[in-house]
Amino acid sequence: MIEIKNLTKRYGDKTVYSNFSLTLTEGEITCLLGSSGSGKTTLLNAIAGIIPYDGEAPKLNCSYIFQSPTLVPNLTVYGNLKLVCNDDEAIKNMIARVGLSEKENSYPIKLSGGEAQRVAIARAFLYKSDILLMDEPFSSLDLKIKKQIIELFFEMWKEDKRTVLIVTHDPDEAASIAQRIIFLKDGVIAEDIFPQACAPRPLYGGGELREKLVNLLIK
Amino acid sequence: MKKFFSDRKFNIIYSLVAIIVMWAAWVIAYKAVGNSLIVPSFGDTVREMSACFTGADFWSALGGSLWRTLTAFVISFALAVACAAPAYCLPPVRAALRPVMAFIRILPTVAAIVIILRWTETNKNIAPIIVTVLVLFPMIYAQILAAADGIDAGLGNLVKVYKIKRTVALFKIYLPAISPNILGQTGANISLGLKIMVSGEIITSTFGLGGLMHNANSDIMIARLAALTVLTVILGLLVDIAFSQIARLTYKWSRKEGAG
Repeated sequence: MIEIKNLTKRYGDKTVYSNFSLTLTEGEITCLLGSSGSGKTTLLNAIAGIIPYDGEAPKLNCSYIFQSPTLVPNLTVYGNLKLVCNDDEAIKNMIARVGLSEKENSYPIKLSGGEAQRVAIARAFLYKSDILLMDEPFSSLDLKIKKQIIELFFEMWKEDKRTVLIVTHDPDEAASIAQRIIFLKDGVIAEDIFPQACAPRPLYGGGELREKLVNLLIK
Repeated sequence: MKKFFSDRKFNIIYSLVAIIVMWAAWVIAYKAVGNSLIVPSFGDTVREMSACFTGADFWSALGGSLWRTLTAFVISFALAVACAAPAYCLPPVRAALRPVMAFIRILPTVAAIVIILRWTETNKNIAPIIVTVLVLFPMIYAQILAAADGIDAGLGNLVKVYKIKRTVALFKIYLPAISPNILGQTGANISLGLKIMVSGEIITSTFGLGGLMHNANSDIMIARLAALTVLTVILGLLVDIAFSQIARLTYKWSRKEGAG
């Protein structure tokens, strides 16, 4: 179990979280769903140690897939992965795993959005971490590429099975991949949903779960 | 017709046209003024430029000016890095340096030369170097800070999350992030430094391009003065172009073509 206890975070006069607590099951994909400004990214950044906060959160090794790929522009695909892993063979295998062997020596400026996000996913799985944090990682991708990347992510996660906390405001993404969906509103857990059908579920498949999530978002 | 104005291949033609216009303005001014002691002829100036190339004193003077300019640039760069690094990391340092840099930047150059000459009476060669440093140092400081401020904040988060070692982050992420900007402006900085150095040499009669200009003026050799001025401008341009090309070729990762 990964426990976050009594987390409090303020930005000036605005309180985003006040004594917020959350328990994550290890090896599970948990999705944080909420509208813009509900504090989802703040929670992720607090867990990752990017921002200070009051309260208890375990000191974890985190992998992070940011909203934009955040690749180092002056390093090749190989060089970017070398920053988080010293095992050359593992790096080459991972580059092949994400289908970018031909782009191993390419700089990020030559990669498409989908390719860059593949590198970010490769980096996240290559790094030995306790939890994988993902901040709206698919939001900038077009529908076809998004489906491919989500499928790639899920295949890699099935081999790896690390704890994942993914932030999204897209009910289709949440309905597709999450084993647990936490709906955040005003810094509190408004709903905690455990979908009955196993993940992954079809992306854009509609269904009751998706309708429920949409209704939560638009309420 | 539209392609003629929009295609970058034709930019060189526009530059040539501008040069021809400047030459024409010179010829018109010479004819209008009608006094070679005020506006020398283009032909006399070109003849003096040729004479410079065969004169030993020109090359010694050129070497002296360049050496002093590069010395001033290196000193300015080192000082700028030494100040910009703590200013970037510590906001109070940045705030404290703000009025200091403003003072140095706005200080009138000629007044500074005259004051420094009084302090360096035994070694006049130092005065142009000091003044060049006073001009370049705050400028390079501001450029380094601007480049550092422009680093993608996401890269900082990447370093934190993935616990990348500080030395690795500094040499593989942060310095490469700012170096294209810095290198790209180095040519312009050295050119400006040369301009200030030569001005300083004229006032202090230091042996260099400025010293030769001072002597030419004293001897009322106006065509030679114009020739030395044009040669200094050409030298500055060559330095600027050289560093721009070095920056362009070095940072292939910042260009889509040739980036793998």
